[in-house]
Amino acid sequence: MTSQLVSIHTPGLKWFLNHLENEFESQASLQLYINALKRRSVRNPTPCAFGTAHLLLRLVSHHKDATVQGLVPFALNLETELSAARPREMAIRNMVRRLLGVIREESQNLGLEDLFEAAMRDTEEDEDDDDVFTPNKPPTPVARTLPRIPLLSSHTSFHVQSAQVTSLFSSLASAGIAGTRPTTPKVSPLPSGIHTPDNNGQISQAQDQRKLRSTIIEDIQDLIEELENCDKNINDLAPSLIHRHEVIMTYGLPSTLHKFLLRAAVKNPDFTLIVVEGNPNIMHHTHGTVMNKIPIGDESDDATQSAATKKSLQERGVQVVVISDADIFNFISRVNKVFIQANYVLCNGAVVAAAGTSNLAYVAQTMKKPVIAIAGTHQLCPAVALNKEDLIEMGPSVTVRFNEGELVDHADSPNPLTDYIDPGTVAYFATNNGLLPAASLQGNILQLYHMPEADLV
Amino acid sequence: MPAKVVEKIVEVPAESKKDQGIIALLKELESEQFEKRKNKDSFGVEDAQNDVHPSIVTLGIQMNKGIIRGATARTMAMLACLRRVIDDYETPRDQTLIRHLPTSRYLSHQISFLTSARPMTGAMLPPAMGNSIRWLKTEISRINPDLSDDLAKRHLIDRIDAFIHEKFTAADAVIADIAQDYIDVEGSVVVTYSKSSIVQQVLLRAKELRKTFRVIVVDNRVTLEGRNLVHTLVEEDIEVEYVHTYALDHVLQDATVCLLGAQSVLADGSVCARAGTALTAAMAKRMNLPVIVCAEMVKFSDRVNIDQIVMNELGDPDALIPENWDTRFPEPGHLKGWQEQPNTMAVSLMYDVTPAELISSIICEHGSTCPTDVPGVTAIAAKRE
Repeated sequence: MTSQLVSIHTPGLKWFLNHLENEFESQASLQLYINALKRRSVRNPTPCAFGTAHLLLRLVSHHKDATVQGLVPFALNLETELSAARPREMAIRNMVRRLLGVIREESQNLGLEDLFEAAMRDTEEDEDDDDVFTPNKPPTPVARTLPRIPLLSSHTSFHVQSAQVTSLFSSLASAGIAGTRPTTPKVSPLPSGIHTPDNNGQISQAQDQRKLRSTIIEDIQDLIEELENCDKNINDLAPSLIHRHEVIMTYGLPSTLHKFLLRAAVKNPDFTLIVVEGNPNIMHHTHGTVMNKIPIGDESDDATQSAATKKSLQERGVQVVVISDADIFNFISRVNKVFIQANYVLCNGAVVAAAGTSNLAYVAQTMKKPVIAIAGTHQLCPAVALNKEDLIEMGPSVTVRFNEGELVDHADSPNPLTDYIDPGTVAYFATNNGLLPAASLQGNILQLYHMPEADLV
Repeated sequence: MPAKVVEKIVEVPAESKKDQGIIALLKELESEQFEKRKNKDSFGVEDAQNDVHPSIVTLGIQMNKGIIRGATARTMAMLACLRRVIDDYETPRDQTLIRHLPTSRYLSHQISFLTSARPMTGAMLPPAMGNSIRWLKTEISRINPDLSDDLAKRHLIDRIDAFIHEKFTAADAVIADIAQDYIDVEGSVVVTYSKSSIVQQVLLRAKELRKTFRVIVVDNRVTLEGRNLVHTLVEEDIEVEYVHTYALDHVLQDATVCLLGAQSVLADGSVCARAGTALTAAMAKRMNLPVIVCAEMVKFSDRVNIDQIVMNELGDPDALIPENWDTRFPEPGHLKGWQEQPNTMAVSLMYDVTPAELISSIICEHGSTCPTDVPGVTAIAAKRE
């Protein structure tokens, strides 16, 4: 009966992937995806990562200028444009960052790292100096597929540069733009098409660049594969983390965490699971998962979400206790380990998770219980937050009903959807790259994104 | 790592496995407390022995149904009923009042009916009630045997009235006066958990003193007692924010003080209160907020409680099943029918114990004390009586 009432269906991730498959058109698809993000019909880290990765795959393979100088500004602009649609859904940004990392890595492999650095610097300068130097900048940044001349600073190897043939026009142009720079004018080794129409002498690099697209596409495909196998790889850690006769406490039962526990129960069903039902936004999902029922109208979770498992935790022999948030303190002293599902993990070990998770995490920390966050690599962000309020998303009130006029009028009832858990609270991160202690998190994240340093949000 | 893991599922028959650890503990607690409540729906007159006073029967049913909740309310209601009981009491022909009234032959029947109304063992009677009963029994034993029954009854009724005034009404006013000091004349943000009558008085007192402040009422989703407080505060034109426990971290960002009520204050300075209070105190403490507990002396107990579960009272687990607010979905929450699912439990406990180290100070009618000094305060108060 209810299913008829909720049959209104907004196009979600599945629809979008289908669209990419059949009727991809760069600009239109990008706009469609941005709209889907804004409408929140694609939401939550994993679907967003999937959507973005698939979109990137298509965009890169259809991108006209598949050179380092072409792709870097393209990726950076995409990052700005996509993350503006949902700034707090950092998986989107992470995926573009991964693409950037891939470009960096591949250009390094091809010996083009100077070009990459130059392109990065140039694009960033572009953004800073736009008003000064390019008054007629195209309105949509992503439409500007042709980069300006990259500027290389003086510390780059002279030998490499000297081998390049420099056209007089571009020398002058770059010197003009460089302005105060005391460096020898360096030019784009590859033609941008506007400034340097001739590309003689660049044959070897041009060939390298030609390889770039195929290697990058391969890497994005690897990335998508990594996303698809994410849960499975995380689950492989389960048997080594949950042992016989242990008492495990979780905040809600989000799908990844649920699969993790199911996997643990295969090897060793002899543990007790205390499920904190969670905030009202996820409570129904938690109850439904505990009872192994398909939650009604629950498209909020991943497209990969398996609605009901064939054999529930209880049928596998796990003892499940459901408690309310208020009872966390009563039970925590009898718990061995606490598992939480992270939405996002920042470089410094801070975690963004469902609202209320911080209650559990902090209490567990004071009781010296290990807190383990489950997160896929797409949820690891190469960023640090300066202001935690920026990361917290608010929803419409759920604690006061609209028929309670007096309360609605006079009492404010905020409903945060996410919590920011301070760094140092979560001790371990179970990722598809293995179990990471908080201390080694930053190194791992930077490596993942091929980044020299973390970014401040 | 093979591409597809064939999961071998170990068969564990649900029944044959012997429960152990926390599950065994919870089941024991359940059988211990729900034995009395098996016929919960039909709790009423028939559960009472025949000399239980009608007002006590009424009160018992009100307690059982949760109409009268909270240690203060229950104790005051009980005293009011006992006052009626004493008023209506007639000494049997071959007995004397001092020997008959307080003993297991009369007064204890009334008390045991009240204790059976809530699923709790005698040891778990809220100290406020226990202390009051103990006081009443001492009072009866102190009666001059030469007094006529009528005069003795008159005397006891006066004493009960005085007790209610001294231990609750006047004490609350004193506590409210002390505690309102923690609210600044302007700009304070007070966090409180669920509803406590004494905290409500403190807030109203502060309002009376024309202080402008904001109150954040954090509520327990299961009991929803905080709503009462919100309604009262809204009526008094106090700025209120209402959230459930999960949003604690969010609302505590701009709080300045945390005021909590208590069911009892234990001898080690820890405080027993509605489940979730300890969590609120822990989160407030983390934010370096002063955590103030308001409790009348009568709630001070000489016992300690180092186990959060064993000594606790089980709430109705079905209260965890959320009522569906969305009228389009008339069916109740997914959790319905958990009893039929093997290996599944829904547990809701009534109280929790806030450790002394999370509390900055405890305010009683004798003043404000640090939690480690609770035994000292109890001793001094006992000496004064």
